[in-house]
Amino acid sequence: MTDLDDLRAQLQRDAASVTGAPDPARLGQVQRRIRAIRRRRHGAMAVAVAAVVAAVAVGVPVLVGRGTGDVADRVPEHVTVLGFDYTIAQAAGGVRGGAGVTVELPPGDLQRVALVSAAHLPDGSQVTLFDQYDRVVGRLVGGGAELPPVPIDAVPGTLRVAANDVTDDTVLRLTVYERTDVLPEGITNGTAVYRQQVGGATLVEGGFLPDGASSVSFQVEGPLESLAFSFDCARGADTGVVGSMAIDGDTVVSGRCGPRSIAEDAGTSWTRPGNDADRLDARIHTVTIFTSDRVFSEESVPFDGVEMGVGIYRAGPAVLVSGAHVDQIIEANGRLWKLEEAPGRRVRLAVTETDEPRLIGIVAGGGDPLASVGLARNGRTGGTPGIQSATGWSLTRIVWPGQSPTLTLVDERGRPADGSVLVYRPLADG
Amino acid sequence: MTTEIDHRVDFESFVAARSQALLRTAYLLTRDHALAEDLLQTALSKAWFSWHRIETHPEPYVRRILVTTYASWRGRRWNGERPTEVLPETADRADGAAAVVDRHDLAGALARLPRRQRAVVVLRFFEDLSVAETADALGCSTGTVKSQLHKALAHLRIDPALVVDTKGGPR
Repeated sequence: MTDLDDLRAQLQRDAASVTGAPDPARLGQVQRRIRAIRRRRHGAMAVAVAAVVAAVAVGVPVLVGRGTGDVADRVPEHVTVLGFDYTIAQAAGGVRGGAGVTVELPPGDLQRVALVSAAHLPDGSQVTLFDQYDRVVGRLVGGGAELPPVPIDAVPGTLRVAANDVTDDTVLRLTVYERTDVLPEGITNGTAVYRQQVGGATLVEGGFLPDGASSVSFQVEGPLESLAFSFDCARGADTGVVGSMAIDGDTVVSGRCGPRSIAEDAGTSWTRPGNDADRLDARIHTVTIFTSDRVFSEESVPFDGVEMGVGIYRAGPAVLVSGAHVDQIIEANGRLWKLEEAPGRRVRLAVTETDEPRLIGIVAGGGDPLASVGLARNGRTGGTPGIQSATGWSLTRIVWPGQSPTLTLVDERGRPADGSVLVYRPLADG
Repeated sequence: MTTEIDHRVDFESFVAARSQALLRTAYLLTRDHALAEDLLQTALSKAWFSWHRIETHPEPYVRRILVTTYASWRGRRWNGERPTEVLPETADRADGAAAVVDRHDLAGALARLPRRQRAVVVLRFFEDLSVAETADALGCSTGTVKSQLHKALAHLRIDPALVVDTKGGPR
């Protein structure tokens, strides 16, 4: 018969077989496992990156392909878009005199951005990037070196760069990057993040429902009309999970949680609760997110495997256009944009070849709240999403350098509609 | 406000500072150096996804992941492990070589313990956790810990009456 001292001594001896310093490769191997887990968790997601911010190329430029010594040979290993880090995955081009480059995108579950660069592009020439659906998603004009990285849908297909009026010296390159697991600054649960800055809005508070909890509350300074909320939830195995958000005890959002994880970029779907007078009185507001088994139930019920979070943002600057508060600074297509003008229901834009692109929005101006309002381009409707008058404002399309369309606000029958076209210009360094 | 970068720095610091100690626990559980490394990396990567909640006191949480992951690895091949319900009787030895032989017997007996019993023994007598802390780490009741401990000590031929819960009072 042995005793406990023998047992403890034996355990110490056995443990002593683990000797030496920590394996320096361990952290890297753990990080690879984390990335693999994250990919599995987000494997079902095929979400287009709808809105992207300041795209800044960072890191050490690397030479790819056959070097010609030009700017198009040196593409960064990493680019940062919206604060998210992307690493180089595919590259094509780099040949002098080439008028086109293509990249075949394989199936994948990571978010992607594409970077187009060109060297020795003569004045008057254009380089256009087409996505997997053959839509124009970027354009570079003579003299430019590279486009800001452009978000690309996470579906397989062909990315294509076409150029006109190139010379024998022109070098084009198309580089595709995939998102890494480095998240931007903000409030995170390890896989999703409420970014510190979204467009003109600044994160002030927020967080995620702890495991096993049915509710969590946050305190935030008002007034409510200055706040915007990004709230989302994803259920576990139980399909009956309802996610709700209450402000000062009043439930303002309630709905069934979806099956997919909260998007990695969590702070992009906004709720702006009404400005009830009794809520405006209180300077400090209590925001509670909770799970329940019925829509707009006030009784919280815990469920396993629920992912739920809220980001509370101080809204950015806005202007009143046709009765709607329109954000002056927004994110779209990989960059920040600033409202340049709201010229009314009809405008002829003349974007010259050397000018910057314009992002177009529409705001409906009252009338029948259920009437649909859309944008006609050169008198033709279709191809751009419309909005209902009651829903305020929306973004529609980008006008690229070299295009001069006439844009008109129309109803669903093509008749003139009240409201205004919104014209945004890229924000400097955005 | 804690940022992603803060989390990452804290996590990497934790891995650098504490992973070797956790590897020893993983080795005592698996009795295999390669499997221990695999188990540790699995536990650390799982812990990252809860880091924002546990970063102020992560080690108990990571240890809990370690033992629960180990207990759930049912489908894996475990080199050298031959679980048996009853250990063979051995003759008493009074000479000087007996202690060495006993040591090998004890090591062999530890290696033959069923997985949950081995986890209880490692947490109680290597990590020096109380019964309540062991139960918390394993995600089971204190009664389960006591019964597993009783069986484990019987397998190891140690009188269960010797066990005193030094942290949580009487067992």
